Amino acid sequence: MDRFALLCALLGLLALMLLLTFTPPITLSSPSDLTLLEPNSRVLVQGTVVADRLFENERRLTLDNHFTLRCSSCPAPPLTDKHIRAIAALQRFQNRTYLEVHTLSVLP
Amino acid sequence: MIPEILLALLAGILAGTFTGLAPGIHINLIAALLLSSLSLFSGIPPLALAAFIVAMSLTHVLIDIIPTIFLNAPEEDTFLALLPSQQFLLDGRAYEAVVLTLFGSLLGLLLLIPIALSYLIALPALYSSLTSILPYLLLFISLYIIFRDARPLLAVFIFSLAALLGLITFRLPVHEPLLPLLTGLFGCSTLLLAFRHPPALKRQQLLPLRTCAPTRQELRRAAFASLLAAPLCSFLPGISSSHAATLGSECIEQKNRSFLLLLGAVNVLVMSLSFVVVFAISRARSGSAAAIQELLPSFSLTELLILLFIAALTIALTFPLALFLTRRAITLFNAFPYRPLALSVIALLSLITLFFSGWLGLLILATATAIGICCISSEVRRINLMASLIIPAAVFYLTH
Repeated sequence: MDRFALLCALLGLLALMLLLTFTPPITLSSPSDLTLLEPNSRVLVQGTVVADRLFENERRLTLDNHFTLRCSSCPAPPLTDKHIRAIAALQRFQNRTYLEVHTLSVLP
Repeated sequence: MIPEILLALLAGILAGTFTGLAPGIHINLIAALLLSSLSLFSGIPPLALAAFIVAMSLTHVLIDIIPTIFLNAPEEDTFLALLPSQQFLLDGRAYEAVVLTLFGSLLGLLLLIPIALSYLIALPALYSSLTSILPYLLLFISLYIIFRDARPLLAVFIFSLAALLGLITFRLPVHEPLLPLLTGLFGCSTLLLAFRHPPALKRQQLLPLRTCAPTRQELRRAAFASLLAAPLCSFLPGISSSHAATLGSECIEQKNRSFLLLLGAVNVLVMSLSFVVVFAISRARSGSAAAIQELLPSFSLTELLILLFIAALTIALTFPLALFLTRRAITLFNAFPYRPLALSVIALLSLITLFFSGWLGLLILATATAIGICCISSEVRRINLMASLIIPAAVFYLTH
């Protein structure tokens, strides 16, 4: 095996993993900001939950600033009227855009 | 409607010729561009636009064997052609390699009808039960390919590197992730090695078509192998026509000539059947099929038959076009020294990656190229690099 190529491959993989893990999320204030971003972009959104619904075995949170979050590992109690901060990943599938929550915290 | 469809067919052949000849340009890009600018085409019937996509896709499938063979610049569906076709290129018989792949495409066209009928009958009933075992099927196919390698431990290592790269790439916010991934793994790696160690090339010859044409035995072998493998691989995500070709050649032993026939047949079958899959189970397995699904939300049997007819017409028209382009390519290839040509293609692919995928795409391209070189230099089969697509697909199905 070409040792130089192996070294480059391992360094490249390390660099990509570091970028994936440590790139800070982009703070968003409005859903219109989503159109400028690529899928898988990490974003930070904050707002008050106005609706907390179960839809097709998935929990969906709608915020007062019109963001809709999909949540598979959110805390169990209902979050309606709670002020939350969430780090999510932008996903696009069949022309629909949604935010898949990675971490969520309830703010006082 | 008929004049629009015929015009769309011709435009599709033109677009497919461009995407097929240009290394790194995928038909998915053109399909995505078309969909994102649909408002510009509001006066054109959706069926005509779908005909354009079909014609472009099939033309691309036939034409992109030319840069694969002459420039070592393959795509996802043609990289397996590299190894046998490299030998043909070294022997000055690249024209024969192209002719065999084109005859394979005609063979694929002949096999399309029986397979399409069986899809229409069996797939709706079988698909839902197959969905739950999809990730295990993907993993089984991968393990089968690894342990068929002459050096399985090295194959596992290369497979793991490619899988890790794929998993990371599909989680990064990069535009068109497949472009740097596949270009690096299968294109730039080969080109860079060829630049460093230029092969001793004989002058390319234009042999008579009759000399290059396949024998009946070769056609029979390729046909049986295609019938075994193509139906299985046409609707599974993460499994390409190259997997179908590999599986088919594992089941029925192929020599270099019949392997190229098999690859040509399987490429046409997998692309054409992806349109049938959209109709049968409303799942898009390729970018072109996804575009068709978007254009024709209520996809009827009549529309499917029209599109399959367009596919057949495209192949019939593109066959002589591909031969013409190959003859031109031979003239150019014989005129230019190989090393500067390889370097130019590497530079072009890097620029294309930078344009479409940005600096992150360039990093992915460099990493993928390094992994591709590791694979080639350790003499492990390049199909193991398909882990970059299979493992992310398997993980997706396991977690959703």
